[in-house]
Amino acid sequence: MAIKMMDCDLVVLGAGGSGLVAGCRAFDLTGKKVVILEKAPKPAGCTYFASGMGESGPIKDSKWQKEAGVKVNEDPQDLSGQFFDWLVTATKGDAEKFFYVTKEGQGMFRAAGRISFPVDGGPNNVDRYKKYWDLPDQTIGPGRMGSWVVDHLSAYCKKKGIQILTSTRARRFITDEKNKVTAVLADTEDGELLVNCKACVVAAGGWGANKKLLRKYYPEKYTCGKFHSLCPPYLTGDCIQAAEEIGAHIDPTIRSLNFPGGFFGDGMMRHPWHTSLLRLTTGKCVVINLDGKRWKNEGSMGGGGGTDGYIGDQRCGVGIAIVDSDIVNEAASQKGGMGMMMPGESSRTTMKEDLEEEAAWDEAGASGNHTRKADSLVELALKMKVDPRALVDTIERYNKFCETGKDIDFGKSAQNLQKIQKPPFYAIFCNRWTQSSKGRNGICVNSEFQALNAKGETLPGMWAAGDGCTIFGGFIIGSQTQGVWNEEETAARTKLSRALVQAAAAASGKDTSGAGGQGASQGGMPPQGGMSGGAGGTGGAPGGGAPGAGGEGGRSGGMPMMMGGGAETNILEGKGSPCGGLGPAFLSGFCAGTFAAKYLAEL
Amino acid sequence: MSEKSSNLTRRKFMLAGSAAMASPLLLGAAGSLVGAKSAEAKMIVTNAQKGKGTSIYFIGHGCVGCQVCRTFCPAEAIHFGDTGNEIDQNKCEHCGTCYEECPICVVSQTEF
Repeated sequence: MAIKMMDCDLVVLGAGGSGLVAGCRAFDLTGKKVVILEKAPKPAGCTYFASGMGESGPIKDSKWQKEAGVKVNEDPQDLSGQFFDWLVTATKGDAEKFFYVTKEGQGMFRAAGRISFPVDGGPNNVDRYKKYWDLPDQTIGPGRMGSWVVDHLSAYCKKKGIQILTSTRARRFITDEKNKVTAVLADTEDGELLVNCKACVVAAGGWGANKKLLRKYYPEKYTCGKFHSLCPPYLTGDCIQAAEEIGAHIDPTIRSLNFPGGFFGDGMMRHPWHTSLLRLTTGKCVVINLDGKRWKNEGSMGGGGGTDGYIGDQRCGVGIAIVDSDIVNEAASQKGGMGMMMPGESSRTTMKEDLEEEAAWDEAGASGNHTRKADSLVELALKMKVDPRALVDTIERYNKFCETGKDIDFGKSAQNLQKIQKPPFYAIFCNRWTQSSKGRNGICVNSEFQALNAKGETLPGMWAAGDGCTIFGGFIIGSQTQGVWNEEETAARTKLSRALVQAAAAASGKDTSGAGGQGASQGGMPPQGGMSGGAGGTGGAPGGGAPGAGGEGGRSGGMPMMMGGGAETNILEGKGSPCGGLGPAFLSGFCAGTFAAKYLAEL
Repeated sequence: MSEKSSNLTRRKFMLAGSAAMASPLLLGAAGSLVGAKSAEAKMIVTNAQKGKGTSIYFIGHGCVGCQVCRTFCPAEAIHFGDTGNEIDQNKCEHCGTCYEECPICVVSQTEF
């Protein structure tokens, strides 16, 4: 098969959040020919499922916030504000329908002055745009900020003639004698394609779906048993490996503390934070291992990560959630918002049926760890192949804690202690899960997002962004404390923001003082929509990070995640967010695109 | 025939290089469908001919369980399975909605 050839100025690998942002931004600044290669049949990436800005902190210094009377910093405008203003301009006309600036007392988990979404109503955590309104599970699925950005930037690409070549897997970088990337070799559906380029941005994501690499990098966590993947299956780290071949340094430092490592049930209860399972597990259930023993405070089961009681430390990496009929009925009968989750009706009301159906599969002899159901604990233990004596002892001990209201083993709070006593009992099997790799073992980059080799020299013409680069390094795109930086980090972020303004000006050949497209109208204050569940907002500092962060930053990270339930959410306790979020992806893409544009303009 | 082979190539391509995925499994499943030897496969083919389209859809490995397909399926033929969503081939109307809507493109389409 003959190799097809094409020429362009900038080739972007990966049409996810960071790739689209980088490509569109570079085109916007320079007008040069940009081609985006995407391995999957459509642009989406991890970004498509993510919701909030996550570890990069909230959007600051946006013009919208300024217009809404929030105090902003203009010299330099924070890079998140630069990004957002650019995004609004690029997707002209539609952002007003989706984003808005939170006012005092509006939105339960959002501090006043934050950019939030969407405007057209509903309780906060059901905030998807119209098309995905009816998804039954609030904890996963597209329709939030990530999807919005991907959809709109894809449309932008179409309008402006930026080619997105889907089903095209970049395989190798071709370099010249100075180690500068001159072309990318890719596989397409009909043969190989050679894309000649002057520069390239690697934004192809991490390796969260690559079990081989998971076992390699985290041998102690992924030893045996199965695990669920929350990553789109395309995230296998191809481009990271390709970059390594031409000398890029793969940074092994683990910077983000918690490797994602909660767990969730198999079968119908497989969903990570399936509201029903979450409800069962965070509140009232008892989680045991294959030895029939509890090993942690179930109240913190939401994430668990590396903080306490990681499921991978248990035998075969299996956890079993035990519930009785009272708990199931109670969970199924609850209406309206529950704690932070505010799940939709459907997933909860069908929970009992789901459990019953799955138990029926098991009765029918289906293979796999389906939910078990039995009228006595002993029978249940035998069905799940756990020592009955151990299970009965554990439950009896637990029930005593319920009577005294004090869990002396693992410190579960009194409100979540409820006896396991009413048959039938259910046992829901859970396994560990994995999600996007969040910059770990990614391509090492400098503060301009240029790829580095092991000696710390830049690889000419190559930038990296998103999950596939070390965005959680010292470059203040991400922070482990959800957007709260210390002095040193603040200085670095300010420097980066300033450098971005200058790079943008140099790239576009204009003296713009901030993000591209100053002149465009912002459409004034967006309408305020019917935010119903707003009373008692957290009212943190305008534009500030911490107080309200749990709500939208809490579940993102390439995939929605890490929403603890109820009052006992302690997954973030003292450890910083375990998730990445959209912010690092977008902002790194934005930076890489801008600096690459500057490079192209100066060629 | 040419259409069929191009589809298989496409799936093979999508799986290429991802050592982590159980490609033999997926391709094996497709192979048995294409062969249409078993009674079950024949039944599926008959259903497909009755329905709107002639393609057979199934959800391959890598499903993250986001439920988009389940929500949009007009025939309500999709439910949670052991490792992700599954299509009930008896209910499937072969309209291709799931194939088009799946954000991560793990729904496979096989022509007959």
